[in-house]
Amino acid sequence: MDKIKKENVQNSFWRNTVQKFMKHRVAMFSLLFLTVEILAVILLPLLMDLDPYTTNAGCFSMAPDERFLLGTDDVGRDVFSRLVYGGRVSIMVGFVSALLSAVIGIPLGLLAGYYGGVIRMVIMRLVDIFMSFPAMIIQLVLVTVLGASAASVMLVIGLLGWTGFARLTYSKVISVKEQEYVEAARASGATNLRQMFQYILPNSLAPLFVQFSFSVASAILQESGLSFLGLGVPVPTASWGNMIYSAQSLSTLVYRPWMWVPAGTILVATVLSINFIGDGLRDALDPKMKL
Amino acid sequence: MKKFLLKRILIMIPVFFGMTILIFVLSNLTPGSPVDAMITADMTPADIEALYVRMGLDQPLHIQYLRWLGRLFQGSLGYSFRTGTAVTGVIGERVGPTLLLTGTALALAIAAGVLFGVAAACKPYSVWDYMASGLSFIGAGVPTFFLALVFIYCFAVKLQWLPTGGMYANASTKDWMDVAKHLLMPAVLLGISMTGGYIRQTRSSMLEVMGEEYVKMARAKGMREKVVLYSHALRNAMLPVATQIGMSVPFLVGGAVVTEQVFGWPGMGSLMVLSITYRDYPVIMGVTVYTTCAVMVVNLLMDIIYALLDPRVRN
Repeated sequence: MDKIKKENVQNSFWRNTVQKFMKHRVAMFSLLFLTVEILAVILLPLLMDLDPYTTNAGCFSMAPDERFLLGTDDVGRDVFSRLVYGGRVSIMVGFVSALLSAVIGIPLGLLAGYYGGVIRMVIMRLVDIFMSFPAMIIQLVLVTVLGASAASVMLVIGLLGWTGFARLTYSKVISVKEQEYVEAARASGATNLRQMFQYILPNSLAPLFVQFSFSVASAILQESGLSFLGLGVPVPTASWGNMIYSAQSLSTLVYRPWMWVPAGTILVATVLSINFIGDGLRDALDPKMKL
Repeated sequence: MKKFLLKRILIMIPVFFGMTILIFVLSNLTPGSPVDAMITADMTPADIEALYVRMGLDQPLHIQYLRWLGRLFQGSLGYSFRTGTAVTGVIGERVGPTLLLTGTALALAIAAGVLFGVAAACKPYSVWDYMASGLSFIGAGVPTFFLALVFIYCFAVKLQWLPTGGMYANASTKDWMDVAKHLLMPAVLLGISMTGGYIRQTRSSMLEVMGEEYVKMARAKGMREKVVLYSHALRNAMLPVATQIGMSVPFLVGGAVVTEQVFGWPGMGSLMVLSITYRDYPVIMGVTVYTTCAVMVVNLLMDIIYALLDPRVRN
């Protein structure tokens, strides 16, 4: 009986959230856009004959035509294929980096909030140290040391992005752990781990979803920034950032916009839509949430 | 205030050691050692061994770290692989341009952030409010380098109002008007990338403060709306904005790397990228040490300003 009641309460919380989210038109539209985009970058290479790597001899820097939908780049590769494959890389880097940050940050925040004392001090001081590092500079050094590759880019972005998750989890946990149901769990002999992961964490998750969406957007931006400096995902692998990199030459910038404008536009659209989804999620979960 | 300062500086000590240890570990990960540059063809393995001992590279890591820290305090960051000159000198000539760029950008970002934030909070759904949210979305979602390319295309190539990059048209004259012209685009772009956060923070803390008792009290006393807004509400609303500004400084440094690279601005960011292409590790580590220390000092200053603004923090 009690179990049914509990499930009902939980269901209505999430159902409420979904209903509120669906009323947020911009967020819904963004979600639709992002879904279509992700499906497109996954499915298009299976459905169409796309080749992002072959350098077509004699077709250097060609304007868009029937054969090359978005033209070719300066070594004769099909820009449209690179846009699709680049999307796979950029979006994957975004999600994997954000996931890595969450996996590091959430347990640390949980430990700091639950135990307090010395553990709290050490962890939160570590957060301070990481937050006062200029992340971009450290990322550049790390990429130089590790060697540029999609994997190292994900690693360095993820490794430096966990502080947001840790702080947020910490602030949520210190209020949740005082709730009666946690006290009840403690009184009935639940171990520390059980209290943390079965009672406290699930009730602290809401703002972390919002943080995750902003984290994905920020990771995609960081990847594009690193790739734009020529220190992110290395060519010939395509990413949106290293496609825009070609526009560092003034003649490409002015005379061959098809090489960089589509990649830039889709990058902006993606990041904006993820941010809008985050906004919608925040408003649906708790409009007063400060994120 | 003295007690607060002391406490704040004491907190900085573990942060400083944490940072320097991380940087030291990073610099040990970089390939090549300082000895490599000194080895000549006629050296025997024993000579090289002796060189290692003389440089202290045979010592355990924690001793090496302390010595490295000692050299750091004496201002010695080693010699550049690329130019062969002292790293401090190579960095020294880049500090001025970077400070000029980041300082201007920060000033623009704060001015725009406060103006738009206050306007958006006082007149919701007005043109200002929409402009404020537009600007903060551009700041949050459009990568600086992409916007920079669009700006260069519009203002430098098509309209030809501004130069495409660099710091001087003619390096020998160093005309200030000319520098200002070169500075305008990168500073505005870097400012835009920063201002979104300031706008949102100003707006939300203004809205919060406007509901406070002392604001109602001031209005009830019949004060003019302007006085209420600026001398009662805004002063208190600025506190969280000051925190936000302090916390955003590391991002300012990162943004400067990209902006300087796009515009060929001769600062520390473009030096960093150049040094990475040359694998010039002493300079890379030097820039890293320099920027992290600068960020730390700025954070300390921001905390002091914060304590001056808000007496509650001091106690």
